This record gives sequence, structure tokens and C-alpha cells, in this order.
Amino acid sequence: MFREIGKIVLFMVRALKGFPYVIKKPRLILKEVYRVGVLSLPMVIFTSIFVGIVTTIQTAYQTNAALPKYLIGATAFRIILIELSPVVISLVVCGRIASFISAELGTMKVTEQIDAIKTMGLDPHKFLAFPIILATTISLPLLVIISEILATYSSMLSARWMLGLPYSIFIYGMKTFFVMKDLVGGLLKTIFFGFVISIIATYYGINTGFGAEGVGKATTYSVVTSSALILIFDFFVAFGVFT
Amino acid sequence: MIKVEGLVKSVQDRVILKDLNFTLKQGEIAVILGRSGIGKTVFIKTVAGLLPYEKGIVEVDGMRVNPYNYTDMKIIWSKIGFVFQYGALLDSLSTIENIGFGLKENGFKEKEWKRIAFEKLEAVGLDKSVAGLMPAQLSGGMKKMVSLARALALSPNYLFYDEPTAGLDYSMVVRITSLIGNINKILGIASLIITHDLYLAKKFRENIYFLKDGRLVKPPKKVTLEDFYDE
Repeated sequence: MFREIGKIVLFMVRALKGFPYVIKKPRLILKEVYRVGVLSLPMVIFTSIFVGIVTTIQTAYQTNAALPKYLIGATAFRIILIELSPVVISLVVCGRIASFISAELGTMKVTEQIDAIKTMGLDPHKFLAFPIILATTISLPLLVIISEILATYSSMLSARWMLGLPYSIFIYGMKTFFVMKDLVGGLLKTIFFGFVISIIATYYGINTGFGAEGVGKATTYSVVTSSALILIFDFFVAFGVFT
Repeated sequence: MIKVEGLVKSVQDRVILKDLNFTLKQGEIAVILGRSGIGKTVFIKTVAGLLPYEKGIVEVDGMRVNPYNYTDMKIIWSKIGFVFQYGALLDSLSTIENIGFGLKENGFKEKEWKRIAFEKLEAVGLDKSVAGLMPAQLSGGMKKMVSLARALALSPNYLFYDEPTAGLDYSMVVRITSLIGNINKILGIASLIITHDLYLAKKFRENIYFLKDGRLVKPPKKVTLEDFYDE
């Protein structure tokens, strides 16, 4: 395990050296932002709407008329900012992009396309991995901001339609108990999640073994490892920032 | 010159190349024959710096081949062109973009890389009409031709061919064999060919080796290649 961690760290260092090369070629980054960010939007929108609705229903159920109604807005909003949007969206996006990045790079490896890139004097760590790492690290927080807005709206709308809670009461609860740390902490961790997902996905992709089996394994390891790391780092952030 | 001395290389704990020695001088053609799975591709990829090795010396024009030293490898790779067994064309790029890819990413202006790419497309005998086709639309033989054009675009000193005629019909085999000979004669590019195609091997009979038990063996002149192969 420590050997694997060491290899991932070395891979990361080598990929990050691609910054000066990639920054001169913004089209490489934009292409990846489109593939990683824009193409994830439908999934993010769908997930966020239901996250908002379910959060409202659960909050109302948990408080069970024992607490003032405005606390539904306050609680749902804070949970969305701190935990639900950052973690659920990171896991959903991880499932999508970690699998496609690893499968794509893995297929390039087994069909010798990565070797071909090397023989043309280009470092695949810099040329292939770094644009994906940068694009994912930029895109994930943006996707989470979109998710937070949508989930909050869907939460507010469902509170109005399902529980009869007026918008003004919901917004009052949101405003009264809003803490900037919730928003910043939630977003900061997604920058980290984006970085981790992309490092793991590109590492397993570029280091794929032989044949179709190798690609399958790389994809599975990539999704499982990055999902586990998201949850582990979420614990550290919760422990460090919110206790 | 490419120099290999005492090369030892294992794959998954199995020793594939044992104390292997080999030299390829500027302008020469060397053909490596051998059974499937004997390690021909491992050998050519190790010499090209695409695979690491355990022991020995591999040098290209006096520079040590070490896949972990990217700075040196960049210089070495600028001297080597590699024609992969299945072409290894980048799926998302058209034929002409594949040929010009290395030039474009190494700083050539669009007009210049396209000019060179079309020139190489023509040099390998492909029609301009294939320039816009994607790799999935090309036949196996055409993919190898495009791979060769891509390797030539970067003006290498050495060309490595991994099974250049495998899986092709006879007419395509003749065409590629003649192309390899012409590239060597006209451009003076040294070529290292890995194959189990005896037709191709016989065309470059002067410098044939068999990869056997991890070492390169030269067949005696009196013995036919077929007989030696059977042995």
C-alpha cells in the first residue's frame, strides 16, 4: 500500500510539472473543462433537485413539529452547503469522470497510443494528465456552487408545496443561521476532492495493465479509490473545520 | 549508432531477454525474427525506451536509454520513429492531424505542420482523400501507412517497425516491404524491424537475427530461413 501511495505521489509531482506547458495551450484545458464540467451538468442538476427535496422532507420529519418552522430552512440550507452538495456531487461526478478518464487513458495505453505520444517527445503525464487534473480541480467547485443553488431552490419550493411553509419563513431561517464558514469550508473541500479524483483517475488510466481486463481493473480501482478518499478527506475536513 | 550490451529484461518474473547484444549502425536495416511470444516486441520497446530494463547498456548515439530520465529520453525520442503493430493512431484525431500531431505539439505553425503532414502522406503512397478520415475509417494497412507517415514527419535517424506486415494481405505486404526499403535507401534512415514474416525478412537478408532463448542469433548463410525457423 505504501509503495502504491509513493507511486501516486511521484505521478502527481510529474503531472504537476506540466503546468508551464499546459498554461500556454488553453485549448487543452478548455476541452477538458467541457468534458469534465459541462458534460456533468445534467447529472448534477438532476441530483441537486432531488437532494434539495429529500433534505427538506427529512428535516421536517426529524424536527417533527417540535421546533420552529424556520429551522427547516436553516437546517436544510446548512446541510446542503456543508455536506450534501459537496459530498454527493463529488461522489456522483467521481463515478462519471473517474470511470471515463481511466477507461479512456487505459484504452490509449493498451492500444499503444500513450507509447506513440512518448515517441513523439511528449510526456503523457504533462500532456494528457495535467489538463484533466486542472480542469477537474476548477470544474468541481463550480458544479458544487450550481448544485448548492439548485438544491436550495428545490428545498425551498418543496417546503412550500409539500409542507405549506411560506418562502419568507424559509428564507428567514436561511439568513439567520447562515455562517460564511459553512459555504467556504464546503467549497474548499471540493477543490481538494476534484484534485484527488483526477489524480487517481489519471494515475490508474496511464498505468493500466494488459488488455481489456487491465482497463476494467483500472476503472474499478479508480472509482473505488477516489470515492473512498473523498469520504476519508471529508471526515478530516469535518473534524478540522466544523468541530 | 544503437548499441545494446548485456541486456536483461524480465516481464512478470519471467526473464525474456538474457545478456542480449546488438548493434545497428547509421543507414543499416536489421530484421529480428522469432516465434510469437518470444519477446520481440519487448526487445524493440526496451531499445526504444518505452520499457525499463534490469541490467545492461542500451545507447542511442552515445546517450543512455533510461525510461525514467525524461530529459534524456526526449532527445533520444527525437531521433527515433516508431511504427506500431496496430498503428497506435490517436482515435480523436483525423489522419492528417495524426501525422502532424508531433510537429504541432512541438511548436510548428499550422501551415507548416500541415504541409509536412501532406508531404509524408504522399510519401507513403496514400491519397490526399484519406487526410480527413478518422482512424476508425481506415483499414489495417492504411493505419500502418499513416503510422509510418507520422514517424517520418519528425525526421528520425532510426525507424523501429513492430510487425509492419502482420495481418495484411499479400499486396499490402509487398507495398510496405518496398516502402521500408525505399525509406532506408533514399533517406538513409536506419531501420530495426521486428517480424515473423519471412517474405519481409528475405528482402533484407544481410542483417537478420533470430531471437531465441533471450538472445539474438544470426542464421548461418548456408541454411535457409525456413529451415532455421523450423529448428
